[in-house]
Amino acid sequence: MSGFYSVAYYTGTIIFGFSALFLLPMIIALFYADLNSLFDFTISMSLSLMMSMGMIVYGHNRLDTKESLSWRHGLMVASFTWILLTLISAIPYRLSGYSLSYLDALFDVMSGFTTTGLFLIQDLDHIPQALNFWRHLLTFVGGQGMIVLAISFFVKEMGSAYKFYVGEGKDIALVPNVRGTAQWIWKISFIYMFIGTSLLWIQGMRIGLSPINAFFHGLYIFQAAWSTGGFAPNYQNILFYHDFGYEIIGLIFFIIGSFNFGLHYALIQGKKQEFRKNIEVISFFVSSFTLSALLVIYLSDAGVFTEGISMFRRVVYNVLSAHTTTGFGTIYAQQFVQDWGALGITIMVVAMLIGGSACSTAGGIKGLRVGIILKGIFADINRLIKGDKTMRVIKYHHIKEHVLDDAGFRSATTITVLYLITFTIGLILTSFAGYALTDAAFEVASVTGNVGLSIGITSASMPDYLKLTYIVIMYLGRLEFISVFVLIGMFVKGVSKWFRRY
Amino acid sequence: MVSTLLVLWIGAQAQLISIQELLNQSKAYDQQTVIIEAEVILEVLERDDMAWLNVNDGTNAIGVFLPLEMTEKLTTFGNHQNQGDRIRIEAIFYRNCFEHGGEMDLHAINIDVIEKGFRIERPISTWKFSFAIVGFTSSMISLWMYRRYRKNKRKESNLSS
Repeated sequence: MSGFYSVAYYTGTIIFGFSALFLLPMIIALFYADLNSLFDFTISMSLSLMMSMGMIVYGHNRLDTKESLSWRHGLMVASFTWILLTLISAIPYRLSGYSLSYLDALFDVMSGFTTTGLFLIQDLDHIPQALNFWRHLLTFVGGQGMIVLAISFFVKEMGSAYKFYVGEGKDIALVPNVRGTAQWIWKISFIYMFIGTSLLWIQGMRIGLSPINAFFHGLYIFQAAWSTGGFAPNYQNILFYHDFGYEIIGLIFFIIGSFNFGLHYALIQGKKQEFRKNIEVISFFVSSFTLSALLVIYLSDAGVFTEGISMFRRVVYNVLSAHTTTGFGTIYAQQFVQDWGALGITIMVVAMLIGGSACSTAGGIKGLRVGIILKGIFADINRLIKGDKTMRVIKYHHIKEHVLDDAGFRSATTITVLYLITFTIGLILTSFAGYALTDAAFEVASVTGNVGLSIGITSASMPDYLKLTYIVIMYLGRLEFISVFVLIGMFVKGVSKWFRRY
Repeated sequence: MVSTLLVLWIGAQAQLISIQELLNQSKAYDQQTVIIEAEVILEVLERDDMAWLNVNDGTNAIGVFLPLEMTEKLTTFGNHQNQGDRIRIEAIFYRNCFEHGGEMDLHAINIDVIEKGFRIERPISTWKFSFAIVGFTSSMISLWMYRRYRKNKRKESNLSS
């Protein structure tokens, strides 16, 4: 039972820290003299603070020792925190009136936190600046991780921080202690944020935006790109700017954002060869090139796009956006349906499911796992062909040299199979709602891989059960299943215990 | 005179459709003159003597490429504070515009303001105000009590150790 109180205590502590974030949109609301938004965020922050302090006191009073937290409870903290933060962060959406229901608000927040980028919010071109700021802030924080944020600033209260960190789908140690690692993740993100926002700000003014709009749009597009989130402040997404330069800056930052934080850290440490040798980087470039080339040849043959710049801006850009799980779209949803055909959609589905790098802001199965599985399969085939009876050591490079053993291969395969099962379930449920199979495959791959590109299925008018299904899939995909399964297991165990007692 | 007649003739040939319909039937409307009525969003994006306008008719949004001088008649642009001018656009639709890197866009022949934009009045919600005051006060009192609780706990643990 002590574990339950620990979960309450640590979850409360993380939410307490997160509550401070509400101050930022409140400042924006004040700046724009938008009192209704100010009240929306004040109400949300108050509820968040009171709930978190209640949980801390409740947990702390009954806690034996802070160090007694097991792995199981550590993982539960991560998955439970995500649920509560989603419930809290959706309040300003609903209060603003731009989300038609609380379910729609939850959908948008989960989409933001998981860096998916799909949205149900209404009248996006007229939403308050404070709410737009909140949307992009959530996707930025979600990309790095709420637990990572809490560990960076509240480490004194976090005796078992590493267990939460792993529960959030990250496992790389940049420096020996987890607080240092979390702080490095934020340092890297803030350095890029400064550079990215500045570049987009300047480019925004060059393409005709006023300085203040250029600044906010630069910040939002950077946050969405770096977090591979794919949100944009206006309805037309990246098409709003009608500028190749603006798209390219976004492209650079979403590709960089989809790389492992370990790789960023290695490059900062001067280990330039890491970029050349890393299995994820190789996997990303090989798959990006192959998928882009296939699609370019296919669409060129079909006469959809005929010249180089169009091919790059409308085809390669979307493949890279899908592959990095960003979701910036340079074509309309209808164009996927009308022009890309079954092969084009299949290629996009593959790109979205593979996703970016492990321990990055990206979603999907991850290049590392795909690389490991392919390497393992090729090694097995090679052994069979050569009739080799001796055991060969298969190695791969990811930050350091690793030996590909059965445990590593099994772990990569397990997560991959779980992704594919989730995708299949989503596909069945979406098809059940009456959507065509190829359209359903595209949309569900986008949801499973936390991408955000849409073929037009995601809208406020889709059935509620589908909204709920997508929320669960986004959540599972981002936390990579295990910590969510632990939470579900503990919940089921608790309920059955309760039923047995009464 | 000739240009006015030309615009009137084109207007007579073109048909009024929604942006969503345009996108859904993009092959049929490709390089055809169409008319849409939509609200102008955010601001004019100037490109030398030309400009981009983003317009939204409630069904979808699209970019309109036009000479900068045409935008002079626009006064209000849509954002949270304002309902933008509603304009009637006669334009050629390109589903794969060669000039703009394959973008699906409209090249305007003529635009007319059919409804002036206006500032959106957003009265302060009294219930939100009340909840915010009550919530803020309660959370600050809770925060003060919480700090005292932490202080006492710390004292207790210092005494016991």
